[in-house]
Amino acid sequence: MSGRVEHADFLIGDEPPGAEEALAPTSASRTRRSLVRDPAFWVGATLVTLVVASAVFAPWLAPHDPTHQFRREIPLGELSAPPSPMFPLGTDQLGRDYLSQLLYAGRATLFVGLVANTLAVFLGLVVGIVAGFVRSPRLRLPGGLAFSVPVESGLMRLTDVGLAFPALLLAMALTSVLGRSLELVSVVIAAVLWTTMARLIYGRVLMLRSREFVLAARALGTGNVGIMRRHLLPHVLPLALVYGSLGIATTILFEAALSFLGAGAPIDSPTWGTMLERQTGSLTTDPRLPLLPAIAIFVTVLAFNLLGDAIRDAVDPHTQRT
Amino acid sequence: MDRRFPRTAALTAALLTTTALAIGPVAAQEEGAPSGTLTITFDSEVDSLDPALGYDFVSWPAERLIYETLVTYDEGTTLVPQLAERMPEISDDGLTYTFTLREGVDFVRGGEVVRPMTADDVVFSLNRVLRPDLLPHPSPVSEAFFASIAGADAVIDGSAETAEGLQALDERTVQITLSAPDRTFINALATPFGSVMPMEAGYDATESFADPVGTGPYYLESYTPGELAVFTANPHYWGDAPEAGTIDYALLVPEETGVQEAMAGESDIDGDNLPTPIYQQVKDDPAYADRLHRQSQLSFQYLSIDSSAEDSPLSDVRVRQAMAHAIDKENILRLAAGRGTIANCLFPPELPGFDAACDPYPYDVDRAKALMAEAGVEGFSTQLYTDTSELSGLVAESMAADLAEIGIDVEVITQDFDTLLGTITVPHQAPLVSIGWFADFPDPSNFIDPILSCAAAVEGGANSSWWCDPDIDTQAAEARSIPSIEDAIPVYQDIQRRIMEQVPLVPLYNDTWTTLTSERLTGLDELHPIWLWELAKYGVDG
Amino acid sequence: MLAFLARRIVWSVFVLLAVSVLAFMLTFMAPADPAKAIAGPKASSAAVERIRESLGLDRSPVEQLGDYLVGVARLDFGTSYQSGGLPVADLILGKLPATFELALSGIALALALGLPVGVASAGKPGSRLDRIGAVFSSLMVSVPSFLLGLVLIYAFAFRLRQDFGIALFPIANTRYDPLDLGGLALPAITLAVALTPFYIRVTRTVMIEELHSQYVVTARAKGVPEGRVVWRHAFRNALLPIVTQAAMDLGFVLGGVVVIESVFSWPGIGQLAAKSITSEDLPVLMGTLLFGTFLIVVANLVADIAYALLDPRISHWHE
Repeated sequence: MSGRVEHADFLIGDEPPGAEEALAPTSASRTRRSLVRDPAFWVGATLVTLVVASAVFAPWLAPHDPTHQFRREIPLGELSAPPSPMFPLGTDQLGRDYLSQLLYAGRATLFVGLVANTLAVFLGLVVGIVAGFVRSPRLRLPGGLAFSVPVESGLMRLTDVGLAFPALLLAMALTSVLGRSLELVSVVIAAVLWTTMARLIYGRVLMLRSREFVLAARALGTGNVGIMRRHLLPHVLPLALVYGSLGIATTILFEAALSFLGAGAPIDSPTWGTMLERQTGSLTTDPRLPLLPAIAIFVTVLAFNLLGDAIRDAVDPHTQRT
Repeated sequence: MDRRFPRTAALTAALLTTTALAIGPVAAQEEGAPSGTLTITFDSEVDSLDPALGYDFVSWPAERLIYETLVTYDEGTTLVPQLAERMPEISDDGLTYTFTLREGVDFVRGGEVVRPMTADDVVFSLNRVLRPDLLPHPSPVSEAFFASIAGADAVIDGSAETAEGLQALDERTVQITLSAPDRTFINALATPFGSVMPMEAGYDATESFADPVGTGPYYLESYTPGELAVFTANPHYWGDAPEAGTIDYALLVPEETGVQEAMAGESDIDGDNLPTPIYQQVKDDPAYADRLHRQSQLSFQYLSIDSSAEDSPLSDVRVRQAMAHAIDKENILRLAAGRGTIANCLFPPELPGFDAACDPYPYDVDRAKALMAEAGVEGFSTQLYTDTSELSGLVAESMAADLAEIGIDVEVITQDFDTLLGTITVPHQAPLVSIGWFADFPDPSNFIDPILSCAAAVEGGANSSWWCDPDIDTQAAEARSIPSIEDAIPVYQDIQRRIMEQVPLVPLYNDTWTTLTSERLTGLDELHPIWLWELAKYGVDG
Repeated sequence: MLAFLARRIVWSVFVLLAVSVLAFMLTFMAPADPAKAIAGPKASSAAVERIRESLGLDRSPVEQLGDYLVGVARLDFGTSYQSGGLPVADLILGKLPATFELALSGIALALALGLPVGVASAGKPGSRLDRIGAVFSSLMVSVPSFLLGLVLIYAFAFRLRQDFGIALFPIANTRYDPLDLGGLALPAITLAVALTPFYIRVTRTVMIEELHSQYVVTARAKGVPEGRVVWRHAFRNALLPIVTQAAMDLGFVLGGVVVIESVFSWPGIGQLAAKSITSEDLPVLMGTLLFGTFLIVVANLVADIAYALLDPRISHWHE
């Protein structure tokens, strides 16, 4: 269900009157204090650390090579080996250790989530800042002809079109065209989700452009690029980071949905989403097989959501809880 | 005039009518009229109900409810007459088939008789399959099945409207002349492509899909796309009345849910092959013992190898032989929960011509390595394409691991079946393909011509090995004209051996289809080797 | 006002056009060959060629796109490659009621759950109730809907039936019956779980603003009971943005509850769209993409109009 996020956040980005003061960046210490007091932050941070650590240290944590097929260890007449000392979570139908698979698939899942999300945030930042600030610069050609380059409208129209596509369908269609590969899946997800971030940043930049510090910088003669880079960017970065961290949860869920519908990563580089996709048929016969990757997805997404929510509540005064 | 008379008369009439109405249905039931609703579920949609187009295991049983052919199969693989009164007279040179049509066969639409069937209708129907102007698109099998009819080429390329080899001699006699003897022609007539439609059906399959007119035991009552097709027993059917009063064809019911419905008795037949994990669970469960039906099929799963790709190690026959020795087929069968038999050569056990002695490449990793060394190939990378079903993925990964042992690094690429078809029919696009082949009729030629002939080794063809041996091609073409199958078998077994020497493909296993049915289903003893279900013979109890 | 409306409508048409072209380009780049897919694995290559010709798939991309757009202008979206060539428009419209009912129920349930929680949280921000609501919200947002769907099917449709013989919930929806609430229940709940967190958040945010606004302060000062303040005043004003949100959601949800419909085999547009992608049924794929886009565009338009009509300044919503 992607494409949902931006409307809730669009609402939030539409600051009501009286929030002008609240736009002032909260002091770092105040942020830290409210963060530390929030139990959601601690739960989220711990879980995220655990998940990321298990992915990073997978080669050391995994008891076996995840691709090795232990065919002889599968009991006769069974389709897979149940949990045992040798295989803490059992094996899959090909005899591959499930724990090792989960750990390595976690790497791929986080990879996709991180890459897709970073790409989306980056693209969204660039487009949002440029569109919000540059607006329609006038280009003066030799000979006296002048016209305005509709940068803002152009970029925002592009965003409109991107938002108009039903995201999941678009991603599926793109994958069927480009083929299933881990890198491509990340790019596809980013291509579909960047518009959310762009809209958000654009809205915020619109509000910032008339602030004193921008006018002051202009008066000092700083060029457009300079203003964008040195003044606007620091102001929108917190916003980007907050929604970026929430975005990881969205991208992981999106990847899982894509995989479930058969348009995710290839069979050779499994993610939790593709593990779930392949094992759905065993839900009623050997629930361990689909449930383990599903729980992994759930816990990871929950962790990032909790963490992201906590950071957002601390940083964005609009939704401050006190 | 007695005033009481009208009233008495009215009363009597009312009494008589009510009695008649009460007795009527009872009398009908006592005669064993079709009753009850039989539900069969499928994971996919109906391709088309038009016999010239429908070509999958969902459409065919449906077409066979509404339409009929000149000849059909009995409970096994023997041909018997259906719309023909008796088996045709075949001329000595094997070129002319003369059919005498059965009398008393009517076309039915929506349960109402339209008119009797005539020989002209038969001629029209067969021409229709050849016509390139059929809407929305022409039949996929014009050449494949009916090219041997004299004058068929002219119809196919649009220069003629009807084939000169199709003649209605009189109201009840159809004469078909072939351009060359073809033993399999009569098998082609038994496929639903040989169904008889009325001439008024025209050449628009969309119309005939919505409003089919046929001679079969059922007629189409309603069709909701992607949901349900309802077939009702034809009260004017010429043959034995079918058992079930209504057949509900439930579409797009996911595999797992189809199984659960059959288990719970909410549907009567699970039209899809049981998913492997569920088969694993129910195969030894006594509760389902008499509801589980297995049928060994006229099919085989195989790994095709692009044998003519330039500069590829795969073009070396020793490499292909090594690959054949390296694949652990026991493991593959285990992945399929043991549903099937290991295939060492092309022909499946159910096929006339099956050669149990044909086993040129037993599992032998050492021999495989030796062959690779002999070919001077250290190792190389390649891609294996297969579809996205769970089992296909597992089989592909099992083979990838096997081939890794002899130095071949295999990247497994899965694509949806329709996409896959498009990929593997482009020459040399897919070096290795793991796929299945299901025969259309019980004749060995059907395992050779479509997938291993030179004619099929072109863009769009099914010869994904891109393998062509003109000698074997000629031999196979000659074998096709041998009129009796018993005489043809030794020739085909020789062809099979010769093909296997070159290993354009590695046969893996032969499928066994498994169906789960409800308790109240009657009339099903064994699945049919070709049709799987003979829905018109099944009924529901209670 | 009218000028604004006109501009937005013109822009929406342009967006639809752009989407059509992009989607068309996509289908062209797909490696699959629809003619081959239609012909099936056993057709001869000559047959495949003939089929390709008769479907017009051998023409140049530009020509095909042009024909398609002309057709769209006439509301003719082509015919499906499957289902024996049914018109795409009929297919989509036929499935619309099913998706609509699912969407409506899901959103209604989500509102029924989200509104009270949001209002309660807004009433005491930072309280334990608020935190619990937030955690609840996070949990719901983190569960992939297909997973929830599978678990619900397993627990309520399968096990309940198997072990206790309770056949309330069907295992699959083969026939769409608008009155079959048992079949609707599980998918609607799954959809509601996906949407509720957002309604909680929106309600909470908007209510907090309302409760801090001038007139609420005034009302409290005048001694109006808290309950009335919250429900009769703040909530009524908060309702508008919430309802606008819900209306926009309807657009999105209709555009494609692909995953939920797939899991529950709910015979709606989402399922149609997903199947069309996997079976390379290009006309249907294009049709569903366009339809989904159309709905999203319309929803955006309605939202923009609503906001424009009611002035971006919230303080003006209540006199």
